[in-house]
Amino acid sequence: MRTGMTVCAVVVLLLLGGCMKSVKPWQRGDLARPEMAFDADPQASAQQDHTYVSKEAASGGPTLGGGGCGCN
Amino acid sequence: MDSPKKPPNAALLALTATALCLPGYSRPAQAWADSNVHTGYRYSAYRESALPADRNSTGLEASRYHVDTHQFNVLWPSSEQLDFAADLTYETMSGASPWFIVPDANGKPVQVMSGATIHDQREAVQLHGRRYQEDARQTLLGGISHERDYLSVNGGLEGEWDFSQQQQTLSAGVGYSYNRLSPTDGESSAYPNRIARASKDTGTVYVGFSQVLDPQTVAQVGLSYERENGYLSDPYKEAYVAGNVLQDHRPDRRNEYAATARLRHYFDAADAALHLDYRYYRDSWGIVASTVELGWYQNLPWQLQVVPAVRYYTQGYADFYQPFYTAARPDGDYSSDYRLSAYGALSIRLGVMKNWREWSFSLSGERYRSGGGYAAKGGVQENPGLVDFSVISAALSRRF
Repeated sequence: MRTGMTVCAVVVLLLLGGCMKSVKPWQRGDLARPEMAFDADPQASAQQDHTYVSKEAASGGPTLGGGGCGCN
Repeated sequence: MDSPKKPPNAALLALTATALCLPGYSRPAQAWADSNVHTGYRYSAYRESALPADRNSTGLEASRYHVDTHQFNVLWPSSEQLDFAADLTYETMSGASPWFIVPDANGKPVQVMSGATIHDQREAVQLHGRRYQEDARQTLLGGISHERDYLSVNGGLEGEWDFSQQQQTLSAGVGYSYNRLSPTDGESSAYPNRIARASKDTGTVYVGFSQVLDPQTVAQVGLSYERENGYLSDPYKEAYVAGNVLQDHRPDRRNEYAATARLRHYFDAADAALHLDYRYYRDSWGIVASTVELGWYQNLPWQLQVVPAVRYYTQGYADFYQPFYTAARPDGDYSSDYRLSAYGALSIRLGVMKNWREWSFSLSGERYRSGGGYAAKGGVQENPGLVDFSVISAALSRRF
């Protein structure tokens, strides 16, 4: 778990530490590709998340899920 | 890599010019960059592997759950500033599920499965309305999910705000769900200790921050908190306690915290995108979990895309969990649910997608295996009810 927290901390430092370059709008073609979205296939992700939430204890993330279910 | 780079085709040029790439946006960019209506259908077949004979109290192999899911979705742009989406889900479930665990003659935990095959179905509707502004987006969402023994109603509000010439995006959301349980055979002569009716509610808040790191890389970090109140036990599960079988009983409150990090990087030479996701989770029941997921989105000629992905999950056990109890607990909390045990899981997925004119087709498969041996911390006593499963999905979508 400490390794995971370390990874998180490194990412935060990368984001906040000024490591990023200024990217002009015309340089963002690759970033605009569908496969670069944080959630590239929302319908598939919804079904996968529903399965994992039903079978594992952990949940949560930077988006709202739907309602609960009586999944066994 | 720093030199200005032109988008490789007209579609990307249009996307870029119109949208300037909003890094936190979590739906396909086409949803707001054009005026097309999008519709889609997905079928998924979920199949759990049989419970091995040496884990079953009967000494026989036992079949488990399977679920068939049909998803329909439509995205309708009302204007350049507003769109609506609806997701409909219909699924049928049947099979046997873990009931409680007993020690065998050698003290090894073995699973007792539910006696009768369960048949149920679920219908769910989820609606979204999203408003777009120059540097912000807001989404209002709500939905309902219905099963014969379960009803859930949810709603929420999400927002995204762009900064620094849209190189940074702050996102936040707040949600609530109310859930009503009415278990089959509750308080019946066959199951007098099973509750007949109960409820629980869940409140969720999250914040996220994404940053464009370079012309091919974007990253996001997030924090989420969820609070559950009410009946959080499983009415269909029981626990073996010093020779007696008691109803599953868990604390009526649970606080859950998650920290996430996501990275996306496009490899120009390979024409492929790397997805790397990590989540750290802990809750007030004492469970700590980590999830790592790695995906590779490989573009191929003829508008084909292949996506192999691997996911590793590991969790510790809840404070009150045991496969079976040799003595009563002072707090009266008991659960032998494998989902509260210590274990790990490894999942492998492969997807293939093909675009053709206004159509898109995809086919994907996943194999999920769990076990005590996969846990990050070794030496755990494996729950005999841990599940392995496979999922096969096929999807079709069209824009008009």
